[in-house]
Amino acid sequence: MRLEVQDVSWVRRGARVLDRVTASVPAGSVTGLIGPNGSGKTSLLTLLAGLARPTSGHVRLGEREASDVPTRERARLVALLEQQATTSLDLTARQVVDLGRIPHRGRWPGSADPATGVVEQAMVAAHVAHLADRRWQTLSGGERQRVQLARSLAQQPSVLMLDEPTNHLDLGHQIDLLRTVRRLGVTTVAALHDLDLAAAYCDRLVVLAGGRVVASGPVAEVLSSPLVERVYGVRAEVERHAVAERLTVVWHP
Amino acid sequence: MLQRRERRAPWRVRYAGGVVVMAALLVVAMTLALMVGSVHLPAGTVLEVVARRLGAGGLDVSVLDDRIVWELRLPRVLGAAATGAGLALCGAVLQSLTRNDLADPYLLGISNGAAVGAVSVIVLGVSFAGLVGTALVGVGAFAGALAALALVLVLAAGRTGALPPTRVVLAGVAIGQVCAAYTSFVVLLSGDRDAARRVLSWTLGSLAGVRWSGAVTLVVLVLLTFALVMAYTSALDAFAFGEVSAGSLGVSVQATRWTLMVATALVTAGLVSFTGAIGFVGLVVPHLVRLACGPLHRRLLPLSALAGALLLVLADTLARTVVPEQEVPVGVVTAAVGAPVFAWLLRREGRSA
Repeated sequence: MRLEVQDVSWVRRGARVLDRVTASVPAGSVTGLIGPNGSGKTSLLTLLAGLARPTSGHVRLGEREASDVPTRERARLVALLEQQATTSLDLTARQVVDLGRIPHRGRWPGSADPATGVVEQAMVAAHVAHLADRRWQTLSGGERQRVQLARSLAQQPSVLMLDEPTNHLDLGHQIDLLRTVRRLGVTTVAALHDLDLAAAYCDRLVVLAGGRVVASGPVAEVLSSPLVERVYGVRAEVERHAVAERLTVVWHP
Repeated sequence: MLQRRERRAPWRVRYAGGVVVMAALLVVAMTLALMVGSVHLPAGTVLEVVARRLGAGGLDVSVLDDRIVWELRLPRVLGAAATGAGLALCGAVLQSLTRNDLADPYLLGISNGAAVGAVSVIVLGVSFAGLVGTALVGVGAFAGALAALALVLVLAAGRTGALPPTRVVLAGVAIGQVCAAYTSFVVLLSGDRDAARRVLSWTLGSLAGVRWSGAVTLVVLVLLTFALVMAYTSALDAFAFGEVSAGSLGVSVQATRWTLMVATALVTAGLVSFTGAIGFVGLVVPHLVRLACGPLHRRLLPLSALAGALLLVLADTLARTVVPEQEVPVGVVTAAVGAPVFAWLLRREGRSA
C-alpha cells in the first residue's frame, strides 16, 4: 500500500513539530526516516500510523485520508513496532503475539478469529516459534523485539511502521531484525539512527531536520557527505564499500 | 496445527475446571453462611426454606426458620457475594487501565468522598426529604462519592480531554486527602463518642444493613457491570504495553478510558452507599487471580468476580460470628484473612519465578 504525506504541519503543545512535510512511500518499499533527535521522525510515524491528526495537510493510506479510516480497520492495515515495549504483566510470548489479532476478532470473548494459524506463522516469520511458551519477563531485549515484530505481523498489516526498532539491540540482532523485515516485502517505514543500517536495508530515505524534509529519494541519491554534515553537524565521508557493495558512513571526530 | 491444539486444550479445560470449582465453592460458602449465626440451622433446613420459596417442595418449614433464612440471612449473603464480585471486577479493570498494581476501586476518591457524605449525615444529622437513619447515610455516601469523582475528573482531565492515569491517581489522592481531613475535623469537632464509633464502623464497611431491596439492587448492578467489562476484555488486553500500543491495535484509548473509569467509579459509589468502604477485596483479589490464571482479561474477569464474591461471603460470615453477640467490621476481616493468603502466594510465586 502506498503512503502519501502532503504539505503536513503538526502543532503539538504549542510547538511546531512538523512543518509542511511532503513525502511519499511507494508500495512494497522500505523507506528509512533519518534525522537528528527531535527532528520529527516519531511525530511523522505517529501521523502515518493514524494515531493522531495533523494540524494541516493530508496523510493518505492508499487512496484514503488516514484520519478517516476507522480505528479498528486502521489497525488491520497499519502495525507499529515501538522502540521498546514494556509491561509488568506475566504474559507468554504467544499471548503477546496474539494481541496482534485483537483488531481482527470480535470484541466479545470467544468470538472467532476469521483466520487460523496466523499467530504461528507470524512467530515463524519472526524466528520466535521456539519462544512461544516462554514468559515475556524472561526474554532478552533481542527476543522481546522479535516477539513484538511477530505481534506486528500477526496484525497482517499492509504497512509496517518501525520506530527506532534496533535501538536497544546489539549489532547481530539489529541486522537480524532488519533483514527479517526486508524479506517480508511489506511496505515499511522505519525511523533509524544508524546511517549504515539505513543504507544497507532501505530502498529510499526521507531526511528530516527541525520538522522539515531536507532530502528524500533513493538511498544512493540522498546519502552524501554534505548531507551528513549539514543535518548532523558531523564531518563524514559517504562512500561505496568495495567488498560490501553498499554505502557506508565514515565520520571524523 | 495439531501441536497447537494439544498444547491449548488442557489450558481451556483447566480454566473451565477452575471456574466450576470456584462456583461450587461459592454455593457451599453461601449455604454455610445461611446456616451459621446466633441461631444455627442444619443445611437441610436452609435448603428446604430456599426450595419452598422458589416453589419446589419443602412444605414443613417453620415460620421462624423461614424468617431467619429468607428475610434476614439470604439478602445479606447475596449482597456480600454481589459486593465482593463488584469490587474485584472494578479493581481488576482499574489496575489494567492505569497499569498500576496499587489501583483499587476507590482510586478516584470514592471511599473518602463517600465518607464525607456519610459523616455529614451521621454527625451533623443532615436530613433530607423525610429520610433518616441508615438509608440516608447511604444516600449521603453516594452523593459524596459522586462529588469526589467529579472533582477528581475535573482535576485529572487535561485541556485536550485526555485522562492520563498518573494524573488520575494523583488527583484521587489529593481529593481523598481533603475529604479525609474534613471527615476527621467534623468527627473531632462534634465530640460525640457514639457518632465517632458509627463513623469508624461505617468506614470499615458492613453488610448488616442489606435487606432484599438492597440485595436485588446490588446483584443487578454487578451483573450489569460484568456485562459491560466483558465487552472490553480485548481492549483491556491491548493496554498491556501501554496506550500507544493499545491505539495501534485499534483501541480508542480515550473513549475506553473514560467509559471504564467513570463506569467503575459509579458502580463503586453504588456499592459503597450500601455497605460502606470495604477495603482489600478490590485491591488483592485480582492479583491473586492473575497468579492463578494469567493476566488475559477474558479469564481474569470472570474468575475475579467469583473469587471476590467467595472472599466477601466468607469474610462477612466470620464478621458476624467470630465474636459472640457482636459484629466485627467486615473490612477488618477481609484484611485479616486476605493479607496472609496474599503474602503466602507472593512468596510462592517468588520461588517459582
